[in-house]
Amino acid sequence: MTSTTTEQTFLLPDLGEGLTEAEVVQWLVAEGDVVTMDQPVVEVETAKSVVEVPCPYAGRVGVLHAAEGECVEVGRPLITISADLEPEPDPDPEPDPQPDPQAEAYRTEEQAGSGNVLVGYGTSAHPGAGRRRRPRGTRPAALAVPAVVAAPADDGVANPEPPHDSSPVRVISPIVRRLAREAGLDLAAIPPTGAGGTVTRSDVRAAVERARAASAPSPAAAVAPAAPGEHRIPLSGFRRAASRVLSRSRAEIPEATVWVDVDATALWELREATRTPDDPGPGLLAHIARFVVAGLEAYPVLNARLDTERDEIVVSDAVNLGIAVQGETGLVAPAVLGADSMTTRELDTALRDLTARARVGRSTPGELSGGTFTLNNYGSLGVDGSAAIINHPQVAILGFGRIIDRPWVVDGQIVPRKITQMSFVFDHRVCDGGTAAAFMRTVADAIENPLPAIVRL
Amino acid sequence: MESEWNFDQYIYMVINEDLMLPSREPVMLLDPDGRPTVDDTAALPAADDLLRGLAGMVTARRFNEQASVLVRQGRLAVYPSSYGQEACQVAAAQVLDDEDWLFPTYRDTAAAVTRGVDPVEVLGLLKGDWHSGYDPYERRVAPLATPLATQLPHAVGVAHAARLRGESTVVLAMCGDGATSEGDFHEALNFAAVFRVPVVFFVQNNQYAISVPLSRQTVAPSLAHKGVGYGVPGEQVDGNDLAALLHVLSAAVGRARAGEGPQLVEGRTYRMQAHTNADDATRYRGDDEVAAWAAKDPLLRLDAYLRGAGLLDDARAAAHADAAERLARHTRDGIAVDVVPDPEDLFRFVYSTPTPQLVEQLALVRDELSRDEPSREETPR
Repeated sequence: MTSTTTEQTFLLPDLGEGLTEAEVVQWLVAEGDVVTMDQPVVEVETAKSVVEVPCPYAGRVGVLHAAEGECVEVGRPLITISADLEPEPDPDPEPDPQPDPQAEAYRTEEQAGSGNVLVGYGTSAHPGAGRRRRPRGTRPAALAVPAVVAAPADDGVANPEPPHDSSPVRVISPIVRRLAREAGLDLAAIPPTGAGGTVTRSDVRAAVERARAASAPSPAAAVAPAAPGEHRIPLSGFRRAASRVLSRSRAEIPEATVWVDVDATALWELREATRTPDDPGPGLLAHIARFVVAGLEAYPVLNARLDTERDEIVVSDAVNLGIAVQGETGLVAPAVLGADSMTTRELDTALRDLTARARVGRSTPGELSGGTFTLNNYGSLGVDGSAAIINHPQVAILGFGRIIDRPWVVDGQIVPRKITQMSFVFDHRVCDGGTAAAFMRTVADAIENPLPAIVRL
Repeated sequence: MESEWNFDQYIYMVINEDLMLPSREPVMLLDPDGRPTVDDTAALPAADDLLRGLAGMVTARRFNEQASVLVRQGRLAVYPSSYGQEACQVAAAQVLDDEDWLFPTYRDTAAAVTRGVDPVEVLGLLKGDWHSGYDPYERRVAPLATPLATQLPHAVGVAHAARLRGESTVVLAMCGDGATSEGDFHEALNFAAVFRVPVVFFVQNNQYAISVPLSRQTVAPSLAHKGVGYGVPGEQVDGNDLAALLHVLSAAVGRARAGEGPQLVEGRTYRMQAHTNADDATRYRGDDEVAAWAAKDPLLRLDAYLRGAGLLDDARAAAHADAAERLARHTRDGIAVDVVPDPEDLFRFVYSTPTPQLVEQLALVRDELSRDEPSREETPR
């Protein structure tokens, strides 16, 4: 912390014992603002919670290194503070930082073509310290280069003679194997200099240098192709996690879909009839959820997951009814745990509490991972139908479209009725269409004719 | 030494277990609004002790805040805050004499600071220094124990040794509510009771063991009640009332010093913040619960009483705040200094005479590091 006009860049720290990244939720300061020591400058969301991060430097904000909604890896620049407090406006109005020449040289050397879009490695708060080993920052050199090295290694440029000796290569430490793996190098191809033919750390680093030199002519290969007329939005941590689950579902599950139009007039009237001035009574969703629970008790194979290793259907004793909810950060499907032991009114209370908390990101881990079946009320989004994706490892998802007045034939007459479309997506490995249709008919019949269904509950 | 404590009285107390049971309600001398609960304010600790305690709490809170900032700046690996528990932290240190020992847990950094350990060194463990902090002998503060309850048998051992040497040392061993479920808690209390070891076990019951509430930890009437089973007198005290804590803990230390054997004190307090920065407390407790405890804040309570009694004015309060601010700045500046570890330290202090294996490993590391020298000299092209 000197009084010179140097810039100091605050790298995103690990905010909770082993976290690797955080998403910028909201900047609390803007470029050009003056900040004091320890002033909160940004709100970030980690896998554990939302945290306000205080700035360890005082001065003027030079660069905010990530946009709101963007993910920053631990150890990457978060904010750059200029210690110069003279009120001179930034000569370069573009948010294009003037990188420290030394840092820029370092970046070019160490990371050429690594696709790093966060400019300016920044000055270290503790340069050198005179130890005999140069602090190399938080990133091992090998981490920055795999994309560059691995590709040529595959087509044999950096690895001209792939020897296939079956005996394991001797190394000085397991770290050596990791360094080589991270750099995409074959240990057997690295000339050892250690005692007894042992590969040392410096051997791997030298090989990494050679590989980088060999691939230097095409450094642009790994840079994200920023074509004109388009821009790139990084996936948030949440979207990436969701993406994995959804992709896995679609990749693994041979799904089939059935659907049917349902006349919900009778249930609608029942709901209206149970309203009193001081008690709105259970909502339609609670009634439908209760019918779904009854349907699952009749067809338990749909309240299950598939153990593909043992070729067994694992039926859950309890019904943990997942509800798809559009939360602040994205779609989640927390579950009403033990829905099978609840009355319609209890379900109504539980659903209201569950969805209210889910919208503000307050679902518990148990609720988020405990679902055994999912109910998807996409009608609330104003649509009639959806070929939904099963929430892996569950085996089925039941959806409802909006309930609207439609012409319907009753006793030979065309009359307006409250109609909704139900769709049911199921894992065809656990049952056939007959079972799926029978389950859906159970729910549909209950909606069309609620009183006998309620009597049977 | 045997003559210094009253054996008859001790036996009488052991036989009459009623005297070992805690009071029905936690001892409170100042209510949450700072009003004395006793008619005679002479029953309160001396004004100087209360003022010293308030200054300590103001500093402890500022220290907690600064450490929480440092952890979010990556300067500390982790910080378990005692925010809201400052009365317990300060009282634990304040009731001891220089010859006594304090055995803290990882959450008791503020107690160590109050006892005079350099705050930068106190945070050494949480920053990740290889030596874990400070010289325990300098202020007679044992290293912050990270495993639960292990410090309790250690404390008993130190106290027992002091007694065998004929020293008048008392050891105050801190632990949390969660630690009372550990085997070490049982062993420590039992050994201490059987051998009449001068230890004060001070349990800060802050209601949570990470996410586990007290109701899942024990169904005993109170944690202080656990003492009677060992023959250890127990007392419970409002852990946010510094006056009551000084009163109860001083008495316990005095009895231990007088040869009446170990004492168990439960301070009822509340962990106002998450377990550490790696924890999200909103997942297991509600805001209303936290708000209810915020109203019982230990600093507000003592401040209100001292001002009402004409013992504290704005100038004195400002002096407290200044002292706290200086300590915070010292902490921040000290933690900002990065010490580059010497790899050879891994081997240097393991044994006074290194084993052949360590010598061989040291040679390997030296060789490996020497191989870096040439590439280090190469400047990036």
